[in-house]
Amino acid sequence: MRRLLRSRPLLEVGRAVAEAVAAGSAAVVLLGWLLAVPALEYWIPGRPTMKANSVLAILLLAGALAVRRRRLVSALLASIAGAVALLSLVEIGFGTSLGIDQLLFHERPGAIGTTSPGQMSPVAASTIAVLSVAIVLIGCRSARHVLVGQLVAVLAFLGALTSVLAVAADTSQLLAFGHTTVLSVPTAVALLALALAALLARPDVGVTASLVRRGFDGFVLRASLCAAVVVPIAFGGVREAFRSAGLEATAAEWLYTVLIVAAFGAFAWILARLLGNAISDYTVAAERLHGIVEHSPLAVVTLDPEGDVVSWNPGAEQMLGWRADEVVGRPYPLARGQELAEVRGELAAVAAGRQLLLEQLRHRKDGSEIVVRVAAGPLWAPDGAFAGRSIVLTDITRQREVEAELLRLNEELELRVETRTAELTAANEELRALSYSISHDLRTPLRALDGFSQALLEDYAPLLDAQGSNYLHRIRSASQRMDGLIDDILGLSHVTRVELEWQCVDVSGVARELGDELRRANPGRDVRLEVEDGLEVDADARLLRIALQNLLENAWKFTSRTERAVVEVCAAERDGQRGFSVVDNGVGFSPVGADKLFRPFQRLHGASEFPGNGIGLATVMSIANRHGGTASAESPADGGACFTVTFGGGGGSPLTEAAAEAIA
Amino acid sequence: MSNRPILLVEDNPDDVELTVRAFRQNNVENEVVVAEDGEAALRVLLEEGLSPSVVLLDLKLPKLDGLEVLERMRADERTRLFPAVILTSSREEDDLVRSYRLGANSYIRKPVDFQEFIEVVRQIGMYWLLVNEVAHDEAGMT
Repeated sequence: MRRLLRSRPLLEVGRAVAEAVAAGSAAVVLLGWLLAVPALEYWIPGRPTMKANSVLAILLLAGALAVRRRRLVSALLASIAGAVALLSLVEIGFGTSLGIDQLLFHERPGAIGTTSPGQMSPVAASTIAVLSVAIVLIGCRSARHVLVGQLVAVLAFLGALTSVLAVAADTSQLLAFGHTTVLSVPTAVALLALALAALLARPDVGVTASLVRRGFDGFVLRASLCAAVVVPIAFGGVREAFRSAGLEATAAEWLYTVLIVAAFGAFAWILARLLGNAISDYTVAAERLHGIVEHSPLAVVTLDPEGDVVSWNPGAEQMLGWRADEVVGRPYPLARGQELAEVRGELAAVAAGRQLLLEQLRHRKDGSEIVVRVAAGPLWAPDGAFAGRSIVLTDITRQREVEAELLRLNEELELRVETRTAELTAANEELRALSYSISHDLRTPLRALDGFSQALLEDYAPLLDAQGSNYLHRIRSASQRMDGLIDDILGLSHVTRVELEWQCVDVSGVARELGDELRRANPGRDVRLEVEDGLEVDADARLLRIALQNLLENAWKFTSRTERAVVEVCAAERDGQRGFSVVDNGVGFSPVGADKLFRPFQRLHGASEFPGNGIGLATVMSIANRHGGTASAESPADGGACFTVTFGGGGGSPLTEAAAEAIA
Repeated sequence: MSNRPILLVEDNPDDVELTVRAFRQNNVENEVVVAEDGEAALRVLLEEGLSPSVVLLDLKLPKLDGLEVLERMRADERTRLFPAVILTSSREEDDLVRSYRLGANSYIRKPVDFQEFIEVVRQIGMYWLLVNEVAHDEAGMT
């Protein structure tokens, strides 16, 4: 409601200035009395002085206004001033002296316009008396008292205005009722200022509140009052000017009337235009707002201060089930049953000026549940009083359901991930147990086969012919081959399980090291190894080494029948992934069945041709897959082979297809 | 050469036979006491008070496995200082590390090739029976 008033600081300043003018005028005169400087007492030569008691009363009233928040002190000060004024009126009325006029200062007899020395004029006395009543009332707590006080202050203001005008026209003796003292200039000024200060003391209440209100009505009131004061005064001046210029009094009077009629006619026309525009703007705005509310899918409801429905838009009908004619003029229908207390609490909070934004479960007319987002706020009447509440409801039932569904799906997904992770962990664990078992249990019988064959060869040699010894040797070599096979399978399984440690690996360096090892292991071979310089790849160093070792060993193996064996290691790129190729000029392989190369235990050459167990390339593929990359092989028609391994950037799956097959 | 017996903890009769054969072929004449599971091994060591020159431990054993036997041996004042050699088929890195953690004196993988195995056993005999000085804590023996 505060926002309806004009800015407070300005009013405060106005009041302070008015008070200061009143008190200042009195103070200047007081100084004149104290220092015996008559000019300060009358301001304009030839005019009467302001009397000491008027000074006293006006200072008391200004003080009463200044301390109006301390009610008792304020009332006491105003009452003393009022008493002085009343006593003066008694003196004037009965033509006696109560001895109060010369109490403070002695005025020389025969002062201008002064009937009895020191006695205030009847106009001053009555205005002061009226003002003291006004100020006491304005100081009251009750708005009604303040209003009455303001009306009394208006009366005093009009009196003071009359006095000022009279003084300005030097016709104040007309107000002196024949023989009594004439009003002085300082008194008139001080009284007008004081009346203004009294009116401005409570701008939040009554007459002043209407006057200072923001909005069109406040503006009209202020403009009209200004016009009512300024126009007659101004044209009064014009009339006097014409009259002194020699125009006959009656003619001047006519002229004055016509001017007033013209001015107020123009004023009324301007006001009507302004009012018309304002109403038209307002109507357009109201229509627009009405349209928005009518077409809104939201439920827009207004309630009166008691909580009865004032408006109920089609959105509300649709959302909540009640038709407007069923609820308008009746209590807010959502406040029912167990929700009653809750809704009442909210309505009370809104009435206290709060804005609410909350989400609630409510029931429609048919009893079905609805989740709504409620935005409620207070409505204020133009006078700032609480006028009801606006409530906007959004149906968020569906949204809530979707959210709940989403939450449920998320939880389900999480559970599924957990289950899968557990399954995977279990599978890994099984794989680990299996490799352990293979590592330990599968070897023991092999050792027995080999050991006892050897024992037979040693202890029973005389009983065996060449064929028998041959068979035993075959048993031994088969056991040893199987031992190697077990090692390779375990190696492959290790590759699928080991945790990756990504780093930048110097492939060129590793290739040269491995080449040296191979040369030492195969001293009879003369293979030229050409390694590209500065070849680097992001990968797990141990696994990359195993992959490169397998490929180089293969290259060495399949170039064993090549005269000038050359093995080359160079950079390669496939599908944007970086890696390397190992190229040899060996026997190559037939494209038929080349896709089986990387499967475990698959071989394209007979064991007697080239020894091997078909695990090496499966291990290479598994390593590439672990890195998110892949391995591929090509063999040109004219011989030779090129194996390419690439390494992706991210983590590959821990259990690759190749690995799964190897275990199956 | 130490005359104390060798304790062979091994559940597989084939491996027992081959190990003993390997010792004999290497002219190791020490008595070979065989325990077929972990419990038996502990019984021989703790109850019967056997004081072997070396304990050869397989890892996979019925009842108590080799590592548990090793742990109990190292925890008991009487057997704490006996040399314990893990002799196993396992090539798991994990087994190796855990064995040394629990105080194994040595970890040897049994090769499948019997001729290699004989060589391994020869070296075991050479080192643990001939070269090594065993600290027998007599005060701890009752």
